[in-house]
Amino acid sequence: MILIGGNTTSDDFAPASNEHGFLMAIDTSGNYQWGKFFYNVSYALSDIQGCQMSSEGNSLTLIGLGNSQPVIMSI
Amino acid sequence: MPEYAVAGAIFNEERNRLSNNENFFYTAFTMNDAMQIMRIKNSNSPDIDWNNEVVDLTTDQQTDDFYRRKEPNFIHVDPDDDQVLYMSGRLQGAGSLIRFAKNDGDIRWWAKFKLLSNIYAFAYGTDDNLFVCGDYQPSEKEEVAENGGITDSAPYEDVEF
Repeated sequence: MILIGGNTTSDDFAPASNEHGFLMAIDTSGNYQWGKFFYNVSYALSDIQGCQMSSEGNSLTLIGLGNSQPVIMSI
Repeated sequence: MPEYAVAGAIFNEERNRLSNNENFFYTAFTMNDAMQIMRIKNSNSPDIDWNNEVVDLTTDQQTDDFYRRKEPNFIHVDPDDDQVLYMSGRLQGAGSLIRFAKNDGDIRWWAKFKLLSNIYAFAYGTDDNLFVCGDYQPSEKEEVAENGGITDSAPYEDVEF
């Protein structure tokens, strides 16, 4: 799969049209596999700027912005 | 609160063999006018293990001047030396590649590509080569001066300086 992170202002995909970080996966044929938005409220994440697999491939690490501050997540 | 910008530089090393197999994050971002490169322990107490600050050599220019732009886009491992990382992106307004040591952040060298405005992708070849890709905007400096600020063309719309 190919994992893509970014920022959405779609109120179809996310709950409202303000900024939400999102992550999605497509397979190598381009078929949508899954997508997830992150709330921009209490544990805010308004954008994802980078994602990379960990050194041994056990997790995905994300860097983004929440409340205008850098946020690191491991999922 | 400081003004932060992130550009994608993140790497998680699950086991560092020179540090008791500890788990670390390596990341970089800008805080106000300086770039911060750091290693953070991936633990219940995510302390900053080391931190380097990259500052402008001069402050003669405006903060959004071409020369002062910096974006840490990627942090990636040297496939031939697991104690070394590369950071690729932009420094001093030019596409740049920095090679630094994992355990103390010491910069071993910094390549500044004067005819590259930024680096947006990288790939390792099978022949010890590291390929970087980016763009070149030769008129950018003049455009910025004419417009009195940052142009609205890519790649600047997502980053504040």
